[in-house]
Amino acid sequence: MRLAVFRLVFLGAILVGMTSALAQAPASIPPFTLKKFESDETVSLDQFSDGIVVLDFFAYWCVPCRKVSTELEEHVQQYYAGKKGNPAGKPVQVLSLNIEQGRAARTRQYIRQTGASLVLDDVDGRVYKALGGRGIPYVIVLAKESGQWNVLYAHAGYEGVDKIRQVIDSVGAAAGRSPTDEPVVSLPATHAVEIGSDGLWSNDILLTDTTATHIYMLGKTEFRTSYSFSTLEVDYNPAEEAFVFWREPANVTEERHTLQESIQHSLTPALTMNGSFGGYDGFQDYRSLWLNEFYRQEYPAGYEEAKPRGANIGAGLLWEYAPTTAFAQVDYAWQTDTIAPGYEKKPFLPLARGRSELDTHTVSVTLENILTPTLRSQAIGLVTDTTGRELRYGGQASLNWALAENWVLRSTVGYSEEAPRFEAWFVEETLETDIDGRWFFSLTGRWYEDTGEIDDSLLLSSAAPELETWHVGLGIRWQGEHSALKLSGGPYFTRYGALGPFTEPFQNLYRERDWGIVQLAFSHQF
Amino acid sequence: MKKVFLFALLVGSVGCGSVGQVSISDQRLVSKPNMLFSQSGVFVYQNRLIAQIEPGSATSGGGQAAGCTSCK
Repeated sequence: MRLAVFRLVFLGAILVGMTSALAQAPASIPPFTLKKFESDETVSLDQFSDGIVVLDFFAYWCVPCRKVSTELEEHVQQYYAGKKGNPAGKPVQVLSLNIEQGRAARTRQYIRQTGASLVLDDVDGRVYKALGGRGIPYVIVLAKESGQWNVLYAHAGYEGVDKIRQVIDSVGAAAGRSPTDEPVVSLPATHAVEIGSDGLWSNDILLTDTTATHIYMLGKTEFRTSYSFSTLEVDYNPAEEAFVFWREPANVTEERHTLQESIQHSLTPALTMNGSFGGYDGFQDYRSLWLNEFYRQEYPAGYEEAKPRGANIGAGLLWEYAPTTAFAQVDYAWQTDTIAPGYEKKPFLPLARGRSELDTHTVSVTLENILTPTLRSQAIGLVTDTTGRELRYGGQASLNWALAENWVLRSTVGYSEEAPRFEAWFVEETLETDIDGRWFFSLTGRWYEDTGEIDDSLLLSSAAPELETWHVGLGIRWQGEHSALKLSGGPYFTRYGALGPFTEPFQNLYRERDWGIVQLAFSHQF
Repeated sequence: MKKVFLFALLVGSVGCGSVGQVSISDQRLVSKPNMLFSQSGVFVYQNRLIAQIEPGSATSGGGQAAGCTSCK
């Protein structure tokens, strides 16, 4: 336990030691002149010298920029145009500055979708650099006072339109109507839905999972509600042993329902708070179902019907310590499970029922960084504490690498361990190519190996022996303006090692299997 | 082995990420949807059902706890 605390403190020290890289804008800038997007016509900053100018730096590939550009056009440009200026009567102009030189068609599409009305090209980044830009979205508010353009507000990331309007309304406030008279802007909510189905089958087991998720974004808060329906179907086939005549094959089917809610709320532009809770009712996996049927047949006199279920609650904090390029997140989750327990019958003793209530506490730290212009990384470290067991340490490192304009390689390696002797490794690689910006094809390979689950205290141990698995899959994805669809699948192979002593009854549970995997996912934003 | 892995994981990621920032004009490729670490099933490549078989691949929840009926 002391070692675990040391590791957490070590992680915390690293996080606290990181330096924040917030935008450093100058107090004022000289006027500039830029060309309009796809035009030879130029626009000079001094054309707006009697008013206030809002600069919105964007690129078509910047996902958060879309929301910023849309809101600035609708709730700043059009709002103040309708009111004939800010409370002091100063006109307000939003200038959208495109910093991306390539793929003009994508930029045209971005402008059409966001409604940006005056777009200038800053593709060499001259103005962006002069204003100390270090990430987009980057929003600047300028006003000309005493003959020079003063920077009233500069922020990488987005604090919301209320903040921008507060700054605009404060310009020359004493001369006009009070900014407090203005109503607080009400932003429209946006929605997204996702539906995903996974299937995994062998010649005696069929597993399915279908999850529907609704994402509701309102201002600085995002609500994510998901419901999953899972099925487990097992052709239970017990081991044949001498003088054991009571075991019978059976077809066992179960359903599981899961409901999960998570909430994200931006406390500040750099800090986001996360919270989640949920629960499920039903068997979590096919091995528990298989073992439950075994114990039901083996001990009909003392067996009690299992009703697996569970609940969880979690909280976390996301820190964007370098705007748009580096994130650190710390999460804590508590889960309680009521499981289908094991049974044991020793000579001259009554039937013993194993532990059925488990509590699991998990602390995890996630780091995400843009390392180079072609590499994005994510690292997850976690410590898990489950009732009656030693601490489990786990880690996962992912690297997404843009090999070329239309090729991406996604690599993940993971490791976990638990005393006294459990260790597991896995590696997954996905190579994806972009055919025309809408159609993507992928090839996935995965390999996993562990040393076998921890031996249990029962004489008749149901713990899995060492396991090796591998998977190869092909995928196709279509990506539209607001929707995306993916279909993938392939073979999956599981190979267990030799069973230990007194574990012959489970040889059909832990036998080698050849599986098929299929995955279908759809998302739509509106 | 675990110490080497955890050390490489932390120092590699934090160290590289904190040294310097990639300028915005160079971020186009890393900002593509398939370069992000998304929660969306459309961009997640791991089948959720595999966690039922591989007790060492879960990175959240109590799945590994519920997977064994009597493990210590």
